[in-house]
Amino acid sequence: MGTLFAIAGKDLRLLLRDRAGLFFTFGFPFLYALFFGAIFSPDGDEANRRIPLRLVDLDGSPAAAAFLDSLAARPGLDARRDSLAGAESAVRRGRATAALILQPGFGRKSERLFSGDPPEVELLCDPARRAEAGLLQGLLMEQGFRRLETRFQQPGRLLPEVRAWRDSLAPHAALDPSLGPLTRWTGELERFLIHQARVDSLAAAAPVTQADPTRTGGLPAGFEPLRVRTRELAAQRVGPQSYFEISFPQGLIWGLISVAASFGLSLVVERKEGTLRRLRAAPLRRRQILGGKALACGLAVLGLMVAMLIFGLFFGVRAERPELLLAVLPATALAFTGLMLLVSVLGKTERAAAGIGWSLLMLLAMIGGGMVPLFYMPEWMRVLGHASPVKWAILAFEGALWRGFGWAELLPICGILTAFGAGCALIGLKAFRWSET
Amino acid sequence: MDELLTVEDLHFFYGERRALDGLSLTLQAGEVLGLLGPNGAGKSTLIALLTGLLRPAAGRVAVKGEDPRTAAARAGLGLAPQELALYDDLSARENLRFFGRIQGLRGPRLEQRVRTVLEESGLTERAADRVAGFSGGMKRRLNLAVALLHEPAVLLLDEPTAGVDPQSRLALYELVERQRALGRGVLYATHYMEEAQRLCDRVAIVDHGRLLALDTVPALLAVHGGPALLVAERGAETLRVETRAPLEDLARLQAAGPLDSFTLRQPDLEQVFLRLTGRQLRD
Ligand SMILES: Nc1ncnc2c1ncn2[C@@H]1O[C@H](COP(=O)(O)OP(=O)(O)OP(=O)(O)O)[C@@H](O)[C@H]1O
Ligand SMILES: [Mg+2]
Repeated sequence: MGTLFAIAGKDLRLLLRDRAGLFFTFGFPFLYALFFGAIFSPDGDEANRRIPLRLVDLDGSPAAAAFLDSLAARPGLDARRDSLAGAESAVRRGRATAALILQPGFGRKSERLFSGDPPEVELLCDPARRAEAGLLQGLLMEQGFRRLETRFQQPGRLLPEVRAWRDSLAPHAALDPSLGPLTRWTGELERFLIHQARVDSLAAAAPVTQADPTRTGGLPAGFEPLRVRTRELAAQRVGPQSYFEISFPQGLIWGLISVAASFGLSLVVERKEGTLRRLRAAPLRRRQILGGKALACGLAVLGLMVAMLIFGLFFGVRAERPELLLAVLPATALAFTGLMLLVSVLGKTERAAAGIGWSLLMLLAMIGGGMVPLFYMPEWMRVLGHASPVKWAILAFEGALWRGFGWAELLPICGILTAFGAGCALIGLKAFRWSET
Repeated sequence: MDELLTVEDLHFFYGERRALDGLSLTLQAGEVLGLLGPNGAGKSTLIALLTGLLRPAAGRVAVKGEDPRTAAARAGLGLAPQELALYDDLSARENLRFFGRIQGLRGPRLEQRVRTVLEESGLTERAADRVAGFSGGMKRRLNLAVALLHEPAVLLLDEPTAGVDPQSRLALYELVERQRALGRGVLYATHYMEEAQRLCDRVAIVDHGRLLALDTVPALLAVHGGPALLVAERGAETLRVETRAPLEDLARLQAAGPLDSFTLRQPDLEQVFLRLTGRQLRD
């Protein structure tokens, strides 16, 4: 065991010394993930980003319709009318950030300004997107105050309400001197509205209404133009959160391929440089020599995957079920370590092995969706992709990241990866040339 | 005496090409056995067979009586291959540590051995430098140091002085002599007859995969060296006389007319090879 680790340690050290190898193993995958994640991501341009929102009108009044129309016209929102069921499903599937539901009675309540309950809306949102929901709430309050503004521009309609309010205030003002300023302000407001009405050549002052006896106790507390109730609805994600969740597994593939190629080729180099001869002359068994190399490759692959996953966290790439990675990581490591052993027997000279090895790996990447995501590819290409461990590795990672896979869906994929690795390793071990003849 | 290496009627082919043709020899403990032969004689092939890298077509090789194709038998072997076998991107010390580990050395013992062989090969000052930046001679010395690391009973040295300057070469000879003093057996492949003559207790002369002669240097010279050569100058004339009694022959020449100068060339391994094969050792 110590010998295995001695060999693996030597190979990892050699990898770290090789600047180009290091770049293709660790640098390039990150650059790939960032580059393609950024250029395809709609999130890339924050300024033009619009919040997808569904609007549901359970009231059906003209006021409700007007409210929704003016909301839909706001910049920054991608608002669309929907049924209640449709909106709920959109939020649940992550297609919409939130849904806004105008409750029955919205129109009636919004007619009154200073009395009774404010109009109510319900905001349905994904708890994972609270920040966007907060933004929406702000927008809604602003919209509510706008409603108030328009009301003041129609003094004829506001005047009766102000008078009713003044009347309801009068008995209390007699008992409580502190209400004096409010009474005076109401009077001023009434005079202002009458004046406005005249200026606007609207109807003369409406007849003085009697105070509503049922409402004499109703004093306006803090003014609330709109009441927003928030209801959370956890989204069951069925798609990637961002393009980074596609570009990270893909970028990772390039690192895996680079590790498989460089360790596979390092065996060819060891033969050429004569160090393999020295290893052979030492009291080592063949399986220790190749086992040490495989261990180094497996550790490099694991290290790369862990580094990528950690790095991905900064770009919102999070495994929905991290425990699934416990199967994905070892299975992927086995697949690419097997591939490494296959590459090591593909050519006699370093140049031949590099040429054949890289061609094979590129082909596997191409048909496996490592260059262009498989869903962009024609059907026959997707069928061909089954033969590539690249496809299965990407699928396994996507499964744990955003495809919502469970163990039942994931384990067969990990089984395929493991079997692929074992098959390649077997060919590599059988075909490995131990002597120079 | 301990028989460290046994080679019996060994045959080997690379495809159709015959590389070893019925070779037999033994190496004893405390002995430096020279393997002297021109390019392509089969020296490296024999060493490959002794390290278990190749399988004999016929005949037998054994290390302390065991087949070197088993890992255990190779534990007693120290190999310095003809082609430098080092990791260029590791430092001298890292190379030594790695090769020490695969020989089973660990901990303080490993560190102590690494220090010792660095010292012995004169590389202590460059120990932390990458091998890629070493001169040919320095690499050659490190190549030998790796073979000595685990203090093996048998050293297989394949042209260990190729490309080494005369001063380092002398240090290297001393290193080999020290191994002999420690009771180790050394198989020393070379095509420098001076080296074989100076260093080896016995010399095996090989050509075309065949063993032509195997004996101590004086015995080889006596049997195959032929007479000494007396070369004398008289005016513009150069006289060459093969002689077994140089003083008498010199007197005879001097009597025939005064000589300006003379040299006496005692037979050497070069001549032994020439007489055995009809060819020069180095063409
Ligand atoms: N890998 C090989 N494949 C085919 N033939 C080989 C191989 N290695 C050596 N030979 C042949 O075997 C014969 C013996 O070669 P070997 O390398 O053992 O000679 P050598 O005595 O070590 O020569 P040198 O002094 O040049 O190192 C030569 O004819 C050589 O051409
Ligand atoms: Mg040779």
